[in-house]
Amino acid sequence: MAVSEIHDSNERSPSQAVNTLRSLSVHPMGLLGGGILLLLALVALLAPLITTVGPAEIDYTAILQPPSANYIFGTDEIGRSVYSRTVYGARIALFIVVASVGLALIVGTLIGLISGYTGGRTDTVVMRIMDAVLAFPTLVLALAIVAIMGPSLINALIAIAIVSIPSFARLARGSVLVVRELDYVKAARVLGASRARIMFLHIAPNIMPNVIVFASLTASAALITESGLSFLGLGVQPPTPSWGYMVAIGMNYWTSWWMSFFPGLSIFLTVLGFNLFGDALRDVLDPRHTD
Amino acid sequence: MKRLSNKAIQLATVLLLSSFIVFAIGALLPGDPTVTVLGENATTQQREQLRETLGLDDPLPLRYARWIAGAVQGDLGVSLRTQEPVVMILLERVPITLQLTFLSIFLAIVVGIPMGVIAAKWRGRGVDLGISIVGLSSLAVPYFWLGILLILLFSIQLGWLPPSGHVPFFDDPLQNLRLMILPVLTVGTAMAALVMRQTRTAMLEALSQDYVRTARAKGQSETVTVLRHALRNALNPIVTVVGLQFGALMGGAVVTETIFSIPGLGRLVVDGIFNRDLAVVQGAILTIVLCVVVINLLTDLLYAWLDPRVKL
Repeated sequence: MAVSEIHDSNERSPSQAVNTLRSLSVHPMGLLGGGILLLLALVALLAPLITTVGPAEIDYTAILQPPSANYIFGTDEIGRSVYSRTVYGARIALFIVVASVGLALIVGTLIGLISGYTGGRTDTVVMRIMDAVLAFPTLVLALAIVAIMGPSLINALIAIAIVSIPSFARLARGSVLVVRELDYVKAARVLGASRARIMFLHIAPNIMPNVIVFASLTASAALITESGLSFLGLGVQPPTPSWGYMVAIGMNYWTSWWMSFFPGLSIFLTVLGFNLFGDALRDVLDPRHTD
Repeated sequence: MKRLSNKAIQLATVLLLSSFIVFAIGALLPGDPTVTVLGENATTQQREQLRETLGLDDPLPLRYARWIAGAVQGDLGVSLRTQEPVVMILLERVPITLQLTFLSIFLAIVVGIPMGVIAAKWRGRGVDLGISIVGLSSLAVPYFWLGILLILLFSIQLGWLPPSGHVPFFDDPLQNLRLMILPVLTVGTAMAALVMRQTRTAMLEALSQDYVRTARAKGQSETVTVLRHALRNALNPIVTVVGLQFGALMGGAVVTETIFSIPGLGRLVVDGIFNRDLAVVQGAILTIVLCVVVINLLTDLLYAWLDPRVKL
């Protein structure tokens, strides 16, 4: 990804943020993506208000019921509401995605920033390690990490963060290599600014737009990995409602299609939302990609 | 030539570092391997003897050295559960996963490229919008959900295709391919969407170039202009996308093989992890990484071959 938004000052003027928002608001795909994500956030936030039964509440009189007025998404194999579980699953999904991508963004960007700015042998060694990690398919590596640490929500989150770190590091490093040669950085160096000051106050703000666009596109990959882990039984552990796990359980009851359909649809819509929003953000922040 | 040797050094380093990670995964897996072999009821003495034979109590660097020395000679140890050499198991499993991934790539290319060309040629029209919507949706469908939807539709509802299972190609080619249709659709759909998007972008770029204008100006037919002049030049980024996605395909194969009960490499990793069969887990993951690295190298070579301006 090219650094196209390079500014002579290290501060983004407020009008620029406003401009970004304004451009996004006329981007139909971005609006759709943003709308989906907003809806998802509302569902997660208002879960207790928009459900009548809890996600773990069992109704033995209503086992494997198809969608009906009482249970609009039907019920699962022990009589829990698939609707309630899907709604509460939004909380888990959003939490894991935001936390794991946030963690990967911070650690990965730091690694890329330091590696790229330092250069030389450190840079070579760090980047080869990142390449080695990137040679693993994300799901396979995440699977192995969770198997080592034990399956749980937090460990799934950490595993997803670890597998996402190298991409952030590569992106940040690539951007740093361009930015560090710019005049204002050279000027700061001549004025005697410390390395830390140059890295964090002069360079970091300038590479952030690229990093943030990448983060929104990584979010969908993070959710796919999380649901893949849960699907294989190594992610969030029951009875916590996780979409991936719900889809997996539904596979044991082929005639009860609603058990895997609705949680799967939620994953699909969320991933679509992140993809559309990320694409729009890239278009807006990086005019070269506009098409 | 210098760049080629640099590339080789870089590749060797990446492989070496990856092998550390693969070894660490096996060594760090919790659980007692002797339980896998001897079961719950063995005596402490039997366990200790087995640990001695397997060299489990040796320092990690020594165990790594032994493992990697064996690996380069084609010896990856034996499965703790079946006592079968891991290499023999891999020889059985790898072709199945490669068949799945290569058929998926084939599907992605034969669907993705024409769709991308059509979308670019009629940019902004209804057909472009339609293809883009299908593409965006295909990219967002999780593998396992798509697999389940396909089984629900084609196996349970319509009864056209078997829901799961695997038959070796040389035993019954027809049944083998019938069983591969749904898994290939599962793995290949997202890839087709990626190829389509990349083709569309590259074609739009190519169609705006001077040589396309020249071709049209000299009276070349539109088909020849689009296919021979524009598409030929748009191929490079498409090749890159296919090559770089190979790792993701292998990841998709893990989930897909689980859904469709296909005894491939992905299934082997998952089963190995659940069974604490560390030699199998190490061998299988090492093979996956090796495949990814080799395919990435081939992509680079193909790229250079397609575009003589690129020097390795």
